[in-house]
Amino acid sequence: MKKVNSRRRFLKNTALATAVFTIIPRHVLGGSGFLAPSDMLTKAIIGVGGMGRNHIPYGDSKLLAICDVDRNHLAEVLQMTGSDVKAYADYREVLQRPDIDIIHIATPPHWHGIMSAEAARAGKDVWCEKPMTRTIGEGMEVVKAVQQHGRMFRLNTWFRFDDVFYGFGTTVKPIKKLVDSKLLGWPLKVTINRSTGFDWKFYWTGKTEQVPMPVPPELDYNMWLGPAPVKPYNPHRVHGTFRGYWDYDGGGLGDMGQHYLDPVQYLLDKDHTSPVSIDIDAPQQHPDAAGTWRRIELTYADGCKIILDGENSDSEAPFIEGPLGKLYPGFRSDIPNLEKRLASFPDPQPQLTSFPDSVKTRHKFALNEQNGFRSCTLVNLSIIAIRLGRSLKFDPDKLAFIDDEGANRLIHQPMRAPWTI
Amino acid sequence: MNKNKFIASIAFLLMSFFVFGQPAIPDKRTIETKIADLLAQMPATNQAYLNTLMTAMADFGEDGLVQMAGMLTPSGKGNDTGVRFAMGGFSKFVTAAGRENNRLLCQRAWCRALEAAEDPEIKAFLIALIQQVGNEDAVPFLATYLVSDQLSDPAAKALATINTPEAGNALLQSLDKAQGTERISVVEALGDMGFSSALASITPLCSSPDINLKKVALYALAKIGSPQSAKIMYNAAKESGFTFEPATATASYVLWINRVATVDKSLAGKHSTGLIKTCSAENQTQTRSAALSILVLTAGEKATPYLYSAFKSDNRTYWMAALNLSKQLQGGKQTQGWIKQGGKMTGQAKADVITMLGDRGDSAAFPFVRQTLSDKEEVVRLAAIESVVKLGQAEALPDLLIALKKGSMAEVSAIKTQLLSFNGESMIPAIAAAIPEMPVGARIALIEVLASKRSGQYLDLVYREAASADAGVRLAALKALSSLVSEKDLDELYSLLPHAKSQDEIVAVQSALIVALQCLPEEKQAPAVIPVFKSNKGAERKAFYGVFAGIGSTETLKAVVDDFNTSDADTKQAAIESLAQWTKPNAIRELYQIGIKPENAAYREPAFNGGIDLITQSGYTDDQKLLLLRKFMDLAVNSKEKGRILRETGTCTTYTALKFAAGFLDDPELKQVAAGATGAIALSDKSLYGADIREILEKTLNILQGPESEYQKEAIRKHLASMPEGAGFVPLFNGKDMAGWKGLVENPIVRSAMKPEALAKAQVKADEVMRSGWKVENGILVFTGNGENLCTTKTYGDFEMIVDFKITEKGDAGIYLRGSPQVQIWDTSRRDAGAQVGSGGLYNNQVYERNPLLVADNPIGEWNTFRIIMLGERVTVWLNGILVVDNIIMENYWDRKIPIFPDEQIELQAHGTWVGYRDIYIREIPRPEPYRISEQERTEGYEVLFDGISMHQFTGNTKDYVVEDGCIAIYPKYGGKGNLYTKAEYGDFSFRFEFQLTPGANNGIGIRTPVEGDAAYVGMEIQVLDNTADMYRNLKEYQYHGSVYGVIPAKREFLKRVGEWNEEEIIAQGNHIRVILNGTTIVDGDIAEASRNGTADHNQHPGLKNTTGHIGFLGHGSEVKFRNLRIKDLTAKNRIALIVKAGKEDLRSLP
Repeated sequence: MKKVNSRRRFLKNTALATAVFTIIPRHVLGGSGFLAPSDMLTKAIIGVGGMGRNHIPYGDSKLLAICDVDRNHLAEVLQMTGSDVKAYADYREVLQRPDIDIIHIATPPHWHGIMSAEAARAGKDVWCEKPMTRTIGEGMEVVKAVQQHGRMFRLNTWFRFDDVFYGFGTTVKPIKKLVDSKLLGWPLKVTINRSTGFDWKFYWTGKTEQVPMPVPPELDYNMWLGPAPVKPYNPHRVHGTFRGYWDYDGGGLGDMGQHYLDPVQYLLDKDHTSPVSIDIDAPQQHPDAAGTWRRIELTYADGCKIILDGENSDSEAPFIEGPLGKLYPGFRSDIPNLEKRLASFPDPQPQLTSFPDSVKTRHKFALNEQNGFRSCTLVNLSIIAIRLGRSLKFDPDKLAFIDDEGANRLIHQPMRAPWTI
Repeated sequence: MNKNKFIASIAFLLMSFFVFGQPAIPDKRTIETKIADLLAQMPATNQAYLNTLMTAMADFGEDGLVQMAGMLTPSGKGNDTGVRFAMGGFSKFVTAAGRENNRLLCQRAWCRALEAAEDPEIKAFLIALIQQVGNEDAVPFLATYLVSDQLSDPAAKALATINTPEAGNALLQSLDKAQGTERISVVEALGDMGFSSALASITPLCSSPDINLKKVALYALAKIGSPQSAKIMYNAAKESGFTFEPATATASYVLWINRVATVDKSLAGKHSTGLIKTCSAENQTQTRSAALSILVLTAGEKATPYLYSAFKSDNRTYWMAALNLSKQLQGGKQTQGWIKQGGKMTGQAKADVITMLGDRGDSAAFPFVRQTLSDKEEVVRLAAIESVVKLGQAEALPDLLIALKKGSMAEVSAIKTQLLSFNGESMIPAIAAAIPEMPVGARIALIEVLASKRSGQYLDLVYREAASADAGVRLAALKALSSLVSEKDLDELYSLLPHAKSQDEIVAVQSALIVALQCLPEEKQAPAVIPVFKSNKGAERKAFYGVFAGIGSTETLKAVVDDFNTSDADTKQAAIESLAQWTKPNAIRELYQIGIKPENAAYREPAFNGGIDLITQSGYTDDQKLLLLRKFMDLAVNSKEKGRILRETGTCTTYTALKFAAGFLDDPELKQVAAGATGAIALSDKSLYGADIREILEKTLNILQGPESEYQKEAIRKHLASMPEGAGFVPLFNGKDMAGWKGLVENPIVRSAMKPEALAKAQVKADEVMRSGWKVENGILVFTGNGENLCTTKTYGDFEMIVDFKITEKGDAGIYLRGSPQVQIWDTSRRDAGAQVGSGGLYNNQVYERNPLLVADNPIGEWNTFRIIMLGERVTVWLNGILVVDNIIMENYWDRKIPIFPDEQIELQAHGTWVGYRDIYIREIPRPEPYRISEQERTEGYEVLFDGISMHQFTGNTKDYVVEDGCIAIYPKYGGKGNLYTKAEYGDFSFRFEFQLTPGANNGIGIRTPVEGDAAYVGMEIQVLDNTADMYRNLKEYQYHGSVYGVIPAKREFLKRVGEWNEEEIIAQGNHIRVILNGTTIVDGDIAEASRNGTADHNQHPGLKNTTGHIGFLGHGSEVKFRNLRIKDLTAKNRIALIVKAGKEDLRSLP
């Protein structure tokens, strides 16, 4: 047993959190204390088939409306929420309601961009599921819409400020302090793998062969597709398994990538930039169905690297490695007396981690449209490289690939009419 | 190299050789064959191979590509997966830099294919590919589909992506013909392109009654961004009330102003200011903010009055939008302006300006912000605390300390947060100096800062505060101690413990004591505390329990348990609390012992929870954790507790854990958590397979519920689909009776000689003996202590076996593998018998290791788990999850001259003492057929030296040289030493074998060599080497493959590619050595001749004179494999024997 953990457990007299990852996040908000009823924020949730149901208790806010393109989803959720919640089939009607403060977007990712931008233009604040957007271009539009319209945005992953960071056995805060202290040196190489018991590449691969099936009567498939190209309906393309198709998401990377990558981006202080090169090791990808991959290496201009070890080939991972030392899970390090040496260094800047507070004070949430866009770009850069089957060079300021038109055509992807962003 | 990678690279080598080969060999395959060959390789496994395949695809030419596209089948009407992989892959491949010609070829082919295709889904697929590769040449092909019900949208999107004037014109020209949704798609595409020539045609569509057409028309005009559209854009937005509606007129208007700003700033400014004025309603704030943002962008500093005015509005969302925008306008003048604005304000607005000034980072604002630290409103002061640090850094410290002195609780907390973000060393002296003069709240905060910075030099100060009259200060100081103390402070801390005034204070001192004790080496910790503990009584004594829990040594554990067992209820309570918080796993069994006793009912719950906590954190192997979890099932009294055990079971990735959890799938209250566990285990170890696993997972799928379970269910379905067929583990013991078992008749050698009738008769008798010695009690298979071995009715070759066992004091037992003794089980206290080495060893080995690597036994009376793998003659054993026998050869006890039997029964040994078994499972492992010599070689007199299974004829380094897939494989990483030699010696012989090299491999065949010394000199070495490796470029000619090392050089260039199998024959006859590699004689020489005037390497080679010796493999740290080893004795005596045996006609085959 590790000494550090044992002592912590004793000192705090708390049960040790199990290492097993649960997709249901803790109730991370509510830090602002008691809210008078008049202060209660209101919300609507778009997309209540799966993840959206977890949003019901998020943010200590009052749920007024739910929206889904599947009638059964609406009926099921209404059973859970009670009669003061109104159900909608068209999200645009929800955006027009003046009494809703926050729009929660828990649809498949091909809708995230449009809905976030339109919600911002409708004067709503936005709580959006990961990955933030399906393309880099849509991400740029969301950033613009949110900032230009003076809105607050939070992306729904939380590891940069709460919970034990994947596999490291501690929250990000002390790791950030260590990274900022430069005790490990610079540049850093962060290798992360499946250290959660949750296989991030095994899940959500698509089927390469499908028989067209009749659309079930409860589903508005045309609206489900929205900006995505029309393809024959098959149940595997929609609810619960949509992540396996490039038209809607990016496989396991789309699902889990931003969870893993966002805290690393924060640690490396890269919230305002993107990598300059993307190297991959993956089998060839199908044009429609997402497959698996083995390794992704993202390199920033200053030499910092993020390595996604999809095969768990490095048994020591996850770790953070610099020229002066290495940090392993449980805050183990090859630097002697690390915790003591670290004590005199400054704590990281506090983060605003209550979205209701952000909405009320109009200060940016810890994980917002700006840094969320950058961490989602890590996901999308990886997806593009995997789809193309080659390494890529990227200009993080112009947000364009260098000398690769094939890749650049995947940055902005025109939407099916009449959808625009 | 790992095996899969290796196979892939071999496949790659073969493929590039046979299919796309070398330019020298003309490729005579028809295009049909080429396509079929390529499709068979889809999808490529890696980038390099993808590029090879795609380069080959380019050689198909346009006709070939069109032909391939013709193989697309409509969705659901056939499997064209390979074709789609190939076409998709090629379309991406050609878009990389430098592949322009291939890209044009690809485009032409897909355009022709598009013309030829009939099915709309196939056409859409082709259009999507053209969208990736197309340029203006593709425009006419795409334009055809702009007026087509299903394909207009994909075609329009492809044209928008191609984005050339030709594409725009094509879209524009189709605008009139396109109707309904087609027209909407075309207009949107023109908008996406910002195609300004379309302005006139699109403008009238903005008044369309079709809301979607109106929407895309407005969007298109906005993207075109012409000043001419001003009125129409404005009116449409006005009509929508400058808010969101489905036609998104306001959004388009804002977009239009953004675009116009790039060509006509003043026009954009005019529209922005107009919007700012108009949109004063609450629900228009976002639109007004957008206008303000464009104004800042276009007018720069001239927008400042608008920002001020927004700031003064009573709408915080709007004023905050203004403040956020104001950061874009840098410069001292701006800072001063905002200071002035802020100075005029009060309350929240003033606070927000201060925050903004902090974010701006212009230190000119420092004096202003510093002064607001004493503002009369708290909200302002709170903002000032943050900003003053951002602007002044360390300079702000004195001000913060002043503010701290009179600050509210919220301010104290905010200041503390800021202080933690300071560099510790610079501020600690000032903080320490300030502590005495601070009021209580501030004093507590500063003590906490001191603690977090671990400033041990101020320990005295903290001790002083620990004696404070104020409870809060006292507690904070006591809590701080654990961050500051070391072993030197033990006495001081001991003296504090009796004075602690509350439970919190006790815990604080205990924590500090733990830290101080842990500064000592582990063996000195208990001696440093136990005497003090013993000198205390009552409450003071109990206060040490918490310390003991923290350091967790055996002695302290004993002290607490003794107190628990001998004291009153109060002490018991304190002791159990301590045990339940114990930090080392040594308390697990004590907690169980306490919890299981009926008289301890009051302490059962903490004992249970503490035990499970410790098991969870123990770091024990999964096998061991599972044993303990199952033991604690005895303590669980309700579904919640049982559920907790099952949840933890789900983290034990073993077959037995999965089976254990599966036992609860029918329990209505536990089935959800059990299913979570079975699913998690199966997905964590995908090597588990078999009919029972399949059944359990099917059941799991039906049970799992909840929105998130889809993740796991989908994964399980996938796992089931790819799970290997086969029985997997099957139970050897059904928990009820002796089915599958029989009594022991003699040993395998005697048994095999018995006549069937005699054997049958003996078996009947043996079975009777069995029934007297072996019983099933409560689902456990028990040997009572009298009788003979219990034997499986089936025989086993290669297998993996799992079995739980337990023994009693002085116990002795064992598991016979293939009818032979044994994997040892015994009471480790029996030192007289040598049992202190632990169980699990191969007890009867004489040549190979017989003892286990470690003692991994659980205490007598507790269950243990064996996992035994037997492959060929080698055995690997894990005891309670710990590797105790590592791939060791098991000797044949019954006849030490022969290897272990290839197949025999498994036996549970009867050795006179009680033994219990449960959960006995076995998985048979298919094995390669032993290598058999060809009839011809047999008649020629060859004998097998290694049959792919048994290394019985070899001796020496059997650690690094292992049997794998029918080969002798060399893995230098296993930590063995030296070479592998034949047990027998050979003088004149022909030695035939096959070998496979890895890149840079180096090995050698020693001949006529003793087993000691360097075979190349004390015997002879026939070199084995990857000649092609770069690092061997500059070797001497007598060092390359096949050479008699240092003596006779071999011909090179006859090795196959690295990774392929080579055939070699070494013939040694007197002084004549011949080496034949892949059919070519590469060495044919006389060693006496070659060394007459000194050897080529100028070294002494005394071994050249040997007439006989061993054959050896002379490893050099690299991976090499050998197989199909056979040898023929060519000594004169043997030749005569052979001639007699073979008869005259075969004489010519003799060398």
